[in-house]
Amino acid sequence: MKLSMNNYKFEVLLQNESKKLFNYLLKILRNKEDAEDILQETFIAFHKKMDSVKETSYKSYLFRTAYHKALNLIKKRNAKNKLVTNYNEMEHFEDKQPKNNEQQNELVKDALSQLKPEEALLMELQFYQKMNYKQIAETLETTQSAVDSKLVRAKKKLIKIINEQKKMQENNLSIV
Amino acid sequence: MKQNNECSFEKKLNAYIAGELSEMEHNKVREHISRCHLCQNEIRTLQQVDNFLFQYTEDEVPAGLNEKILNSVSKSHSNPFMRKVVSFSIAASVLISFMAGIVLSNGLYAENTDSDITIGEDSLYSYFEGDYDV
Ligand SMILES: [Zn+2]
Repeated sequence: MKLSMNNYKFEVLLQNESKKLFNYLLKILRNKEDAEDILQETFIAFHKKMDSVKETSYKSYLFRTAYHKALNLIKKRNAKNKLVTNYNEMEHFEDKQPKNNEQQNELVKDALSQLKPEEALLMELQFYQKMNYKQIAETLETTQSAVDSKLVRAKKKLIKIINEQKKMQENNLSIV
Repeated sequence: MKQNNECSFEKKLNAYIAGELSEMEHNKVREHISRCHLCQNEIRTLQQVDNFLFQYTEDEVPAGLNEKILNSVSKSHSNPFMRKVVSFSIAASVLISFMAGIVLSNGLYAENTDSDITIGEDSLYSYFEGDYDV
């Protein structure tokens, strides 16, 4: 009986949260296949631990797990080969004239990937997941005042990145 | 308040925007902002981040991925029959709450039946948003 109840809860949770988690992973990993893999790993890991997680903490647990798994992958990638990814991104940029949505999404992904992974997670939880300080603190296993100061720092960084992006775009336009 | 380019309220602005201050503090900060240009500018700058991030449009989860995840976790319990039972119970509970919604709206707000049923349908659809299949 307990098993079926858990399966039911798991299925509902997967239904409700997979899109949000998938988009978080897309933003920080910037690669669909990797996002799919980590999403799958995250839910499987969660399923194994489900009994020991409070129901009110399911979402925090999922995001924390996805964050750590993505972080490991990013570290592995960085150790491997930076040149290849940079080259691929450039190619992608020149080849296609992306649609408006895609272009905007790329800008957001580009900006978030320049933050530290923890800062990107903070942005994700506050802006896209609409978590309050208390919930963010639980996810990051820290205090609410730390959340506030980290958020401020991350935002300041992001503002710089956004302004640099704008300058780049203006330069590109003036060249064309 | 300090010198020209700094204000002691600045560090409260992020929590202010996020609605994380107590009511008393919130009012205090709001009152201050109305007469402090530094804080007004700072808020505008912080809101730049919001506007920027909100231009992101969510992608759909690739078709079949949720199914794949469900299959791989149910394999660990290897009980396909239970999976069917669970799926059926989700469908049944949605149906029951939907029916209950109609009964309630008919009973309690009989004069406004049409719009109440529409609300019931909306919430049913939003429950199934995405690529859920029973
Ligand atoms: Zn001020």
